[in-house]
Amino acid sequence: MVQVTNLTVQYAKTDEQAVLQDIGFSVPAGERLALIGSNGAGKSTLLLTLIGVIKPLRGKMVINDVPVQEERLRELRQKAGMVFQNPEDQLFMPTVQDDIAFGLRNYGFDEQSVEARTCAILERLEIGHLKARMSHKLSGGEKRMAALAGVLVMEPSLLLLDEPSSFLDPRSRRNLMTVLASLPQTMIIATHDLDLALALCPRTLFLKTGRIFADGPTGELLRDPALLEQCGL
Amino acid sequence: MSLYQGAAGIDRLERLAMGDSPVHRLHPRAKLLAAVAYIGVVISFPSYNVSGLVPFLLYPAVAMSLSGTPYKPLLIRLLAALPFSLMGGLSNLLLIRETAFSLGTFNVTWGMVSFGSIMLKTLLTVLAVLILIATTSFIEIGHQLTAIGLPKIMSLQLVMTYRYISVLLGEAASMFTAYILRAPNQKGIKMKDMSSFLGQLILRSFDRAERVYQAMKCRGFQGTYLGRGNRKFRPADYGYTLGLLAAALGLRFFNLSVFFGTIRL
Repeated sequence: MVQVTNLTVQYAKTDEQAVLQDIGFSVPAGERLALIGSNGAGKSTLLLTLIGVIKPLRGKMVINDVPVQEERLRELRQKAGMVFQNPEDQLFMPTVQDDIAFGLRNYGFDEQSVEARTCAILERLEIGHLKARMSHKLSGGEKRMAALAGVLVMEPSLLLLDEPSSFLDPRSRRNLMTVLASLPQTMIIATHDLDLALALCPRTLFLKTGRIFADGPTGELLRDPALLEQCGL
Repeated sequence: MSLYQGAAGIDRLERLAMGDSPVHRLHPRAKLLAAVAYIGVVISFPSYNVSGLVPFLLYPAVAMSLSGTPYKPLLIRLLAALPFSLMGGLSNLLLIRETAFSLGTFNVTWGMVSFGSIMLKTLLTVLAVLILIATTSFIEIGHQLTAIGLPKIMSLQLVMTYRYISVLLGEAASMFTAYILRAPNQKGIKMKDMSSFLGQLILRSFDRAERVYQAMKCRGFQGTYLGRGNRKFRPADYGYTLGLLAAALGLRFFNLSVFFGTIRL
């Protein structure tokens, strides 16, 4: 499903150290993988590279048999959706309804399908009451759910989530975790929220200064205080 | 009004545009073309013709009434545009001093007439734009501007700028609050801090814009905001556009004020 080989990312050629260095891993279809690491470890960069926003220096990435290459990005982004760390960055249309429909319209869905799929996802996430609301007037939890709806409406097979529980109060966080647990998609979740990782992801990758430091069952890794200490957590 | 309140209230027109009225239901292109025609005719009036412009006040009055648009938010925004015209009008007032006509012992100069004309034109044209925005989603307006020939990049810039005024205000408000909380004895930002404040604001805005663009690209954005499909032009849309154009042209060449003034009862 997701295959990453020898991935190295450097923001500028003059940078002494790469942000990601020789990363390699694979995620089978349907698996939920947590990416854990301290600030600056490269979690968000890895997600942005997977979705083709950041170009790697070298390495190969394949998602659902589609290589992550400039000329295949449109196709790729229909299959893989990314929920950004700050939902404010993702909600740019005036109303929730328009924002959810944004991706569908860009991919040429007719208005009937746009309406049907928008209503279906609003119902699925139990946020139908937000449909006509101005997106920037929502609460943090509502914004997060609206941003998630805008991605899920495309029915991607891979979900990339960057710090999905940030800005959320306990109830919104629980609500989000319930929704994520119910989704069938393959997920890669970059997070500092160890409880969330433990609850949702059977497998975890620990990143440290741009390298994979550990890869294994979440429960085992999180029970290792020395490992957590080494990763600055 | 604090910056926070300003940031919160700036979307008032956008919320009004989500309303439902006969004007809201018109095709966005009909409203855009009608507004452009109306503005074009108003601007075409000579500098000293005030009486001919007065009947044009009917359009904002009728449109606001039909669309249920409250006058207050429009007038508040209108006030922001008036100082620019005021400066231009004042120079005419001071420089053109020949008498046009007398009202009793008071001599009305051509400068005063020209001043009145400039202010009235500003009032009418700005109101027309505000009514358009208050009854049509700005994204639809951008979409229609492209459809009638404005380069895509320009309409996109317009839409994005409009979209992010509130975001920029929000960023400025947070920074300003953080500044004031650490400088309790000051009423505003010190001049010596202003450059770094504005610099930070620009950098934060760039960062934010970059992240937003990334999010848009991830959802298939290819440089065009897509509206709600192609709605068909209905007879009411033709009627509105052509009716307003005909009325504006009629009033351009037939001075209704003078006509009423010459009626003897």
